[in-house]
Amino acid sequence: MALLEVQNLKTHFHTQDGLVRAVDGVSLNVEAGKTVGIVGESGSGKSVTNMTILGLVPTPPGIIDADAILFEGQDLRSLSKEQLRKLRGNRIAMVFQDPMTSLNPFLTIEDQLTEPLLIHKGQNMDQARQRVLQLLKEVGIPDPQSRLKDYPHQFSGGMRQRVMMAMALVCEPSLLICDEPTTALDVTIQAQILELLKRIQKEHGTTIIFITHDLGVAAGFCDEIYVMYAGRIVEHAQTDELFKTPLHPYTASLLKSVPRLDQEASEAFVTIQGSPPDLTALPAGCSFQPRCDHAISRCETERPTLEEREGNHSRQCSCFVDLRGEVKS
Amino acid sequence: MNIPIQTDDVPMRKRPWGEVPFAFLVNLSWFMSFIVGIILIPIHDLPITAWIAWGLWFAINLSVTLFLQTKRMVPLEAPVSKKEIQGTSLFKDAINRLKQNQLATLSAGVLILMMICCFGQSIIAKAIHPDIDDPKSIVALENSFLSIHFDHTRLNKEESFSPPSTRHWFGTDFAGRDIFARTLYGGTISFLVALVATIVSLIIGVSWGAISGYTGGKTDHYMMRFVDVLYGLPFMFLIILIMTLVNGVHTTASQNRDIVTQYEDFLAEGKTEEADKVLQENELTTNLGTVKAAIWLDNNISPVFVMFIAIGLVSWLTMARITRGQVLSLKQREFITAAKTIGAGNMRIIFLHIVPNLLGPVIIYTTLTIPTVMLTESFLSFLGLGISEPQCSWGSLASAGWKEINVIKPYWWLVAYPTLAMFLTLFSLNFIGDGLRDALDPKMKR
Amino acid sequence: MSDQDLVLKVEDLKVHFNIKNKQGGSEVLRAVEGVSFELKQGETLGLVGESGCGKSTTAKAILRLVPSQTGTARLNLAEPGKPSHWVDLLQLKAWDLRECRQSIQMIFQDPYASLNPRMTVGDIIEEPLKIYKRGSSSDRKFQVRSLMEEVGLDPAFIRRYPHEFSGGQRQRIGIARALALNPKVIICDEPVSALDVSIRSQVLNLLRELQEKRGLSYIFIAHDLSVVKRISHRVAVMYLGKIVECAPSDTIYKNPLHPYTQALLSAIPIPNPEIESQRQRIVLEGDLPSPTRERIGCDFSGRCPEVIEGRCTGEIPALIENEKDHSIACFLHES
Repeated sequence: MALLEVQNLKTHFHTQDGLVRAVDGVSLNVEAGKTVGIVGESGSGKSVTNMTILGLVPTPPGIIDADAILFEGQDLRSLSKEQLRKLRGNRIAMVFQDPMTSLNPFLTIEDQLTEPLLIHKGQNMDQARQRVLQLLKEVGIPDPQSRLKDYPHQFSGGMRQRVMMAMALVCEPSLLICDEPTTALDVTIQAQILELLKRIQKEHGTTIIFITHDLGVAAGFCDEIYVMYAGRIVEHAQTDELFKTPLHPYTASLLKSVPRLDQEASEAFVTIQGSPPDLTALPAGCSFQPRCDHAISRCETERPTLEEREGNHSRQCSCFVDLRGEVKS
Repeated sequence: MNIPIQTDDVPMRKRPWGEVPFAFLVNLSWFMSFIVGIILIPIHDLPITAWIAWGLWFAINLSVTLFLQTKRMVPLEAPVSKKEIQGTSLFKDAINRLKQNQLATLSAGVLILMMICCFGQSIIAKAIHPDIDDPKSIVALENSFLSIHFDHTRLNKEESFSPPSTRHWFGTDFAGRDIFARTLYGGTISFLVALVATIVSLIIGVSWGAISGYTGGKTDHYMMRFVDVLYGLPFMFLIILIMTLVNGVHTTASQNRDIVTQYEDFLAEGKTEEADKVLQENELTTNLGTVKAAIWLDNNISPVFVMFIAIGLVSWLTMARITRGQVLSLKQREFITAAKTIGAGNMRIIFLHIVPNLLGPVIIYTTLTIPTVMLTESFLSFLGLGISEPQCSWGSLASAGWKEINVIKPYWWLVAYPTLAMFLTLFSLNFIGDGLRDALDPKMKR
Repeated sequence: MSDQDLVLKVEDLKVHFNIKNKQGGSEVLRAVEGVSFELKQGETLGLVGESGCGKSTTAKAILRLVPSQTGTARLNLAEPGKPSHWVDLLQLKAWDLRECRQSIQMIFQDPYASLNPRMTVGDIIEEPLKIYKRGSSSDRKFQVRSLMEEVGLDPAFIRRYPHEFSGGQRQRIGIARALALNPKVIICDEPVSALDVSIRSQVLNLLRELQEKRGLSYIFIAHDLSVVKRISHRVAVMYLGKIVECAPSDTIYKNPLHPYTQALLSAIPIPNPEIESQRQRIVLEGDLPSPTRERIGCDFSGRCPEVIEGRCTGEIPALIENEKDHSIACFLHES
């Protein structure tokens, strides 16, 4: 059974400028123990998807509609606010992008890290402290005993992100959602954090949903990848499959246009024409159509549906162009 | 650029443009009809025709509103055209957003209406009674419509303390002066106070804050310490002190003006003995110089003006602090660094880059200082330290009226109408201030 | 490289800031500690490093936006091909400095913050021309329109305000503004970091086209080595205020000599799962040392996997040109 199953999720917002279709029919299927990547640019709806699953989207102005949001078999929408709160931080944990703003600057990390244990596991302060120390050591904070009483601003960026991870892991969640956790960090620190995540997953068997816009990070870290564009999933495949044979024009163009370390310096830049979509005014047909090199007349009027191809590789595209030959592997 | 196409299941439809000002006028009309209704109720001898007219007005409002709601709104199916080539600046954007805030627009409408009435009254009064500002002018008792309702100095002892009636819509005071006219005239003064005091505080405060913030370093340090010191002083006491002095000057001047004129006439004619006798009789031998100075001051400087300035001097401090804070954060923004790299000098940066970006919070704070200023003025008038007869402001009217009321003589209209007017103004200003704060909030559109 | 080919020579640039530390005393933040490099006419020098390495501060010091302690930054004002005419930007007085600003311009990282939100696009691009009184008003308007076309913006939008444009378009406005005075050198401070991934290559393409067309020289500052490598001819890697390695971009990737460069390269993700799974990652321990401490020995010695005890901790290695056009500051590669 899948750990997390989302079917046809839609999150719309009424704004001054019109109806924003932040998430427009997204279906996810996350098996236990896997690392699932959600890749997309800003405005693709990846963060909103997760906020919706966790119930963090306020319902005015948001309108949420889904066929199912199942976590461990339980429908999250049928839970009361109290029950959802019991899940968050306990069975489902989230790590955010900016450790500066997601840690409370007025509380010591001891207070913040023991809080989930005191709330969810009913432990007392001593037990909680022991667990926290153990966890801080595990995430690689040197001399954790002396740092318990420190405040977040006394840590460097990388260390803060480790503290965030410790906070997420403190109740041993079955699902860890990481929303661009390394985007704000330097590349060498990013490597450290990714190594840490890999180790945690191996040791605890945690399922990880990893949201990022960096294809390189997704390539090295995730088992399977969902590619999102303008609130819809345009492609889903195992990582190797996706990079070797991208079937959607957006994925293919992205792979070609992103500057890569293994390319020659003098090569010409491949660009994707146009600009990211305006979510209040999406085209009637396929949302990627204005920028697509392979668009046909059908793409302007018809919205493509998600179709499965061989090898658990699905995509949402109307064209029949075989993109196999286009991307260097 | 893509031409975006609206899909057809959008539930929010755009209102046709022409409806917006019409709806605004309807709202304003509703509001005014309620206010007028409240005002009409105490007038005991109101003929039936007036009530019928009011009822008709109310009914028209009702039917128009119902009509607007049931009228079908045309859904926007045609593709939205490309935006105009003329862009919308952040200001225009803010005005648009303000327009959408109905409460703020309504308040603005009410305020503008009140200002028109008040300034209109001054104009009319001046027109029908040209030497209205001279306290000694002999007022013939005129009975024209305009004179009865709009001349705020029209005295008529027989009509003193009459309650609201068709003859005097808001009633009369102890001298038979129409309260309606006095309230409107008081409005003029109150609005003037607000204007002058705010402008003074704006000019001093913004300059001080901008220079201090942009220069930085020791200059900034000392300039702000000066502001801090001033903050510590108890302003009410200072203003009361200033105004007491001013009042003292005024009293001395008015008491002794004739005597000194007499004295000077005698001197001019060469009758020194009579001159000295005049002085001796009035005990002015030793302090003639001071009295003359007082008279000169009183002649040339209106105490009202002093009060305006005093209030303005008190309110610039917070403006300076706000401006300095804004300038400090603006200095760090990248477009200022960019301006430096393209070779802009300090003057250019301050006036073309920093100041236009300051105006948002400054405007908001200004709409919030105006109520404070008005209340300060009314408090001073209440204490008797503000403006003097025959001029009036809402505060002085309320205070004078308050003194007349007791259980036997419940002349509530002396206090109620000026207070209502002040309340309406401050209320509206508050909503406008709130609306401006929301509209100018520098949240990027996307 | 003959002197005539060079357009910018920076030697031993040092930038120190006095800051108050937690105990109340003041200490010296050594943001840039002796940076030297040369920029050839028509080429792009990439300046790479992580946060705190001093690359942005170097750029700001060259442009005199922050005061520098020692060093020279000499700009060649002569036309290419003519005998050099060098001026030291760090020694210029006010008027001369203003005049020289026409030759060296900057593009900023944040497309949202680097444009004055209350000015129209036309005004923003025209402002440099106005300041230096170039041409009449109509000439300037014409120039603004042609600049907008050159960077790929529709001149019909000349009266629009920055908030009505997307991030990529705003960055183009910034580029047009930098081009207005026809400079010789443009310092690009992380110009694509804040942009969406799919439009980064558009802007990079534009920069390259402009370089070829106008013979511009760029100093391209970024923390993303993948981007820097693709657009630069030569790359200089910075660590804690010093350049540790400087070489042509392909060489840096194929043959990195300095241990920090090697660690940096191994940490950068490549969008190719096969390569990723086979890579040997050099994961550095710990964090960047504090830039306020006294520099004893090599700055990288605390984290270097190949540190030579005694030598590396005692002496500061100098940046020496080792092979052809490949400079390195490391005792492991002393020739």
